[in-house]
Amino acid sequence: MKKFTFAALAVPLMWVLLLLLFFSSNKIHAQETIVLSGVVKTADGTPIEGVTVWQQDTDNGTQTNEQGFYTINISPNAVVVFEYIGYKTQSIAVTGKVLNVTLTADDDILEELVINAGYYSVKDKERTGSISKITSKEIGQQPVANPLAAMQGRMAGVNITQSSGTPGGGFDIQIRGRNSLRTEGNAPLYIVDGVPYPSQSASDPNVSIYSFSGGNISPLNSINPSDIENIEVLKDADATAIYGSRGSNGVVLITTKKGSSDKTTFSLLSTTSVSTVAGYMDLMKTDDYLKMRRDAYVNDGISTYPANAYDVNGTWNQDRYTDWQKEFVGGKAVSQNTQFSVGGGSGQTSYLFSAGHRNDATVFPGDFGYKRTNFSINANHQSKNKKFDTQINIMKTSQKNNLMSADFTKEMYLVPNAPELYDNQGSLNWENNTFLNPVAKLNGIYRSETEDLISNVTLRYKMLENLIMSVNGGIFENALNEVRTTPSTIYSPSLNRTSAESVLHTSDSKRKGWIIEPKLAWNLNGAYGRFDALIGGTFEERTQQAFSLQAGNFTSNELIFNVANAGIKMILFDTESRYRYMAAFARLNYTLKDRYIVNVTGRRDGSSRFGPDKRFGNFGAVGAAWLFSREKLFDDSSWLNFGKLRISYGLAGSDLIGDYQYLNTFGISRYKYDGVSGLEPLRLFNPDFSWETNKKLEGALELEFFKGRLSSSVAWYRNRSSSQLVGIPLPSLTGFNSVQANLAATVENSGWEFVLRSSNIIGKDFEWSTGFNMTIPRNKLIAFPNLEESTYAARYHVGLPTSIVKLYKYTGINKETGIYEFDDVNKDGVLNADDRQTKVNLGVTLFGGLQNSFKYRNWTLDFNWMFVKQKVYSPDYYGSYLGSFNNQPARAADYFSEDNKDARYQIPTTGANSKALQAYQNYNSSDGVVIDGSYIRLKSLQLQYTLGSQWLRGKTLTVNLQGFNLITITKYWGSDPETHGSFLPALRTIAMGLNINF
Amino acid sequence: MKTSFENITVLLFTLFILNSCEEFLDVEVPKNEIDQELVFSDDRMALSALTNTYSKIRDQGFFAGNKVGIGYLLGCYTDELEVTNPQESSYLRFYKNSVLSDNTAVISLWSNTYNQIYLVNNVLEGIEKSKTISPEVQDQLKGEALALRAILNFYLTQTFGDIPYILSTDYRVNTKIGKQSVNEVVVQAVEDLLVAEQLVSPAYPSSEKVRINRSVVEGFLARMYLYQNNWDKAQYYAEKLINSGTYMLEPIGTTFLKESKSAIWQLKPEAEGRNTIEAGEYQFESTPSPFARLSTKLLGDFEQGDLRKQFWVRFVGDDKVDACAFKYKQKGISSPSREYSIIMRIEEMYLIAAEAAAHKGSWQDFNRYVNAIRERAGLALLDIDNHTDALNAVKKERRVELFCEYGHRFYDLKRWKNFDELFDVKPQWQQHYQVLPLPEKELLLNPNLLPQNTGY
Repeated sequence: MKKFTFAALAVPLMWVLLLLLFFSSNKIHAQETIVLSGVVKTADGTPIEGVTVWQQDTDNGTQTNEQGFYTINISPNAVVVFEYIGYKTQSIAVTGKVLNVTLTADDDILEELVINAGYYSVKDKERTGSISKITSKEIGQQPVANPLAAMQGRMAGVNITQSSGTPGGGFDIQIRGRNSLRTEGNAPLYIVDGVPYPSQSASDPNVSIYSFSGGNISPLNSINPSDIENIEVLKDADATAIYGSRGSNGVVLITTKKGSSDKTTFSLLSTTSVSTVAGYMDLMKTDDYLKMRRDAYVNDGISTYPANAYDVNGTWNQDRYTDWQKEFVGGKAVSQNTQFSVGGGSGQTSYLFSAGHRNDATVFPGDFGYKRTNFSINANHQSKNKKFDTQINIMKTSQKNNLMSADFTKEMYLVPNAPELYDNQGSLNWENNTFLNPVAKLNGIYRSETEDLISNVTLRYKMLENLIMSVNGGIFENALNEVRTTPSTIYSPSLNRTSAESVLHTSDSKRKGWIIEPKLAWNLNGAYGRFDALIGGTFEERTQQAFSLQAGNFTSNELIFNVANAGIKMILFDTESRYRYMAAFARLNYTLKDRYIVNVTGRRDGSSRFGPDKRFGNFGAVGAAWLFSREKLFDDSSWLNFGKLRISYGLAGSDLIGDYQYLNTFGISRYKYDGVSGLEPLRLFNPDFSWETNKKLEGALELEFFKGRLSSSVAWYRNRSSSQLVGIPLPSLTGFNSVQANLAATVENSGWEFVLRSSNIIGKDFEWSTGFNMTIPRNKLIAFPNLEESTYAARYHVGLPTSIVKLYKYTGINKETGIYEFDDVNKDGVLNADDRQTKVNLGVTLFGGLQNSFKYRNWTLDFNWMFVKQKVYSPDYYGSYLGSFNNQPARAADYFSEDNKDARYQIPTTGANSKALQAYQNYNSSDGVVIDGSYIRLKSLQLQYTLGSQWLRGKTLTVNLQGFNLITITKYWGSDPETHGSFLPALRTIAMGLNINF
Repeated sequence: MKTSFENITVLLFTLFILNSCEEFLDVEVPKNEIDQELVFSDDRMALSALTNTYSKIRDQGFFAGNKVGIGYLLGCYTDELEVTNPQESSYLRFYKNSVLSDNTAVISLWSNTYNQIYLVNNVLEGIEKSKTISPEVQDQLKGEALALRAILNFYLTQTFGDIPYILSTDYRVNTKIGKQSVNEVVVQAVEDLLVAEQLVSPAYPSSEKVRINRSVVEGFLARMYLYQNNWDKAQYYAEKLINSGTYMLEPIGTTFLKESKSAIWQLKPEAEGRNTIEAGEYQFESTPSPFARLSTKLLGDFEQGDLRKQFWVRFVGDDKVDACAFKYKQKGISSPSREYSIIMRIEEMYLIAAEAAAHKGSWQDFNRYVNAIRERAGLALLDIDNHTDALNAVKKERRVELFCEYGHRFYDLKRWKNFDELFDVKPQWQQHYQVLPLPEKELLLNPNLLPQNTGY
């Protein structure tokens, strides 16, 4: 039964194609031949070299020489085709023995703009799905190390935020909102040159948690943005359903640069950049701080300062002031990026080789940094008869990250009159054991080494003129080694720790995967319209191995990186996992009169992530487009060039839950006891979960006016995600935090996307064009049976976004006690969970970007503004209570006292006033800490000058000045509204680059 | 037709691939996982499931020797430790008695302990179903698991007040479970211990005193009966251990060594050569102390010439003000390990027997037990024959004998209703501090745990 269902889709379609084959088998008859010759020129009379000339429906062809001359043996009355990139293809029925041809340039480039939809390509104008695209031009305008950073603010519906400014850190990407209630369940599918690439960080959070937010390392760090030709993001059902179970959260297609069969070109690019933290928080100066601390003691009725109140009792110099932000994250990070490529080819073969090296320092004190080296090779070959072609890509990347094992950003709250970090001899100052010197943490090191290899081969065979068989095969390998040291020297000398107590933590992860995708594409063109059909299958496997070791008791801290030197070695884990996936997919596209288009896609998926009875799922979509501008009515329209209405509906899915979750198994525990290593249950057992499904609906209108000078698109989408695969949160009473299950809840993401492009001025010397995109996303929980009874009751509310938090209503400060007060909603005299009725949406409610490009002679200026409307937790949420032994934001000097009863903050306490502390805790769970985190940011700016080619004879030299995160306009009063957490904010970068092409 | 033939071959081949391998999706269980049923089909693997719980108990939750274990936290909470580090921390909050429902130490005590209870319930259920484990091993493991469940629940209820006593691994039940009163929990714990007493062997199941045998169960029975004011049974069980001949009062200088004859239950460090976590957490080498020092009040409570002050307290610096607990002396690594954390030792049994005797008015017993402890500490012998003096004497002995050991001080003050003793060092002390707040997060997930403990 199971076999039948799987084959149900594949078999009939195969038979249909087989039958078609028989009926359309080509008829070639042996006949005498004639010799045809001629010259191919452009409209201005220049001969063109390399034009392909071939007899239609045969594998008989040749190319023009330097003079544009060709000869070919053909059968009489044959049709000969002339093809050259950038020119309109001509098919001519031969009547004589000489045929001179003039090729006209294909002006209507937009018309022919082809979009990669993954398994197939489609002309931009004729696509039925929703796909956004950026090209190497936009990517190259920004001095960034991660491709996701280059996409920020440039695509409608794609929201990308940086989670930490530390080099080699993570990014968060959401395509059309949060579909899943699990954060990790929202990752899109990444496909690099046809090979699926892991979206999850491979890092072991036990090792990296102190260096990166959530221990999250973006796997896309391995891909050099300079190697990328295009990034396409597939969004709606029409585009993503062919990716079935993995298309739910959108698909990001990354296509690397390819060689062209022109003459050999060399390119050298070198960029140097300097980065600093984009913003600092305004913190209290010593006077305000000490006043606050003294008031705290007064408020608590403590008249003599305790011995440990070093800041106010005279132990520490009260005239000292240090802005610790400047000290700990105030550095200048210098980066160097060099990229070399050589490409070329002749006739049927082309290649591109590129190599790059990048070196990033950090803004932290100390000698730390990130290095990346990458090589990539691309080769294409086409057989002489053009029936067979192949393409090979190999990308190899090495990354090294060397950081301290802590993010120093949190140290900015250090007491402002804390002592100097170093004494006169330049060694760490512990101020007679009264000062826990944070710089000691620099002795703890985090190092990672990553090796990546992505390789793919595509073989394509043109069985018939309209039937192409292809196989795409690829592998990826990703090996990550991480080390974190905790030497005894990070502790206060008063503990007298020795290298016997130093600890090394090391973790190795190896991920491997392969994929094979056979595919058959067929098309038929006739009076009744055009059919495009595609059928294929996917077999994929991914394995992951991880090994982690903790070592201790070293003879010396000098030898801490050598495990052999450790007296104690403990294996923390030694795991492997295997994921297998198979699928059959198909597409059928029908175009009538170039203006009515229907596109049907489908996929049947099987995944090893589910229990034996839940493995298979069916997904599919229908898309339709009407190019109404091609109707007669608009033939004479002088203002409307193009108009398209498209609509799509379908089902995609998600299996992002990790492997083996359906097994009821024990794992080997990292803990040993009495000589026995432990076995422990890994999860609460539930074998009955299955695919998460996402129903997507979209409608869009695309228009072009004034000969394409102005184009716009408006899209509305509505995605409904149900059978949510979630770890349902559980109280600790159950022994676990969550259990894996399908939840009957439905989450709706809907929204509007606007894209506008205009060429404002097109002059001989001066050009100005503008691009604008804006997304208004809405997220709503539309159904959740038994929500009130479930453990989600305190988190979600039907009818509201899933990004809400339920909070107390902050009502102000009590004028008598000087303590925060909250609305006791049910008036029962106690403030508890029942009173957390204020629902605040912490999500993004609007975002977009505005790009402008100016060109004056050899000068170009491009800039990209990004804007985001959102609510976030204020820095108060990450700080500590007023009066504690920590610095506070400068605005907190406005606290309650007898003279200041209309204050913003409550009375300071040293920690003895438990009412004030309770109020502080409640304040952190109230709407008082939610503020407007909206911002407008000049994300990137590039000024470029190209030395003219006339006196460099075909060589070009480009000099550019680039900026990243240059200006931020915001009401948010913390360091950075984008990262808005307690990790290193995004960096502001200024870069200078040089690019030579010859 | 040659082309067509080739084409068809290729197509049929593809069709074959697409059809052939449903089995492709069958991935085997990875090397680091093992089926639950297999675990409980074998003596050694079932034992691994249980020892895993011991290691969790050693590293996390109440018995952890670090600053988020109950020894350190309640030492700060009462009058044993004075926090000197001004930086915000969980134990500083405990020291200032401003523990709130979002305190990370409170959350981790709660969640780690319930995870440990899940693990023992899982062992109990696994063994129950198993048909292949040998009967002796089955009894021993079941007894150990029941005893651990009783001990963990006992600590939970003494610390948090009313709590649910979790008896199964079924998350559907446990998600909604409500609270039981402290008394009910203790009764249930005693019941578990009484069953365990019959199941576990009198001898330790392995070569050291690091797993639960009958004596450990009886030691906890003595303690729980004492907490229930059941003097007869408390004395009965305490005396059973005292008279067993297995355990002896150990000289002060060697009480905390791993070979100590007074130790009843020890937790073994995770690797050979390691020693207790406590040694590294309590000790410091120069003044002012970087975290916390012994309170001056505790130092003053030792009688003149008490050997325990001489051996278990270490003064640092010249001014004799800063002192640290020095029960566990060996920090870091030694070859072999010198010290294990001691959860229960025979001295406590003497004090339980003495306290019970005091309540029963058996003055001869009382003097014998209390003097055994005092003699060992180099102190003058007592001859008491009235209730008040006897109780005061045993309270004082418990304070100086058991300081910085898993919250004895706090739990004693609580059952004696003697929190007024703290008022001089904790002027802000309030009645409701005798229980900790339930974690706020847990109340949101399971409203049946409401109401929050009074005052929080």
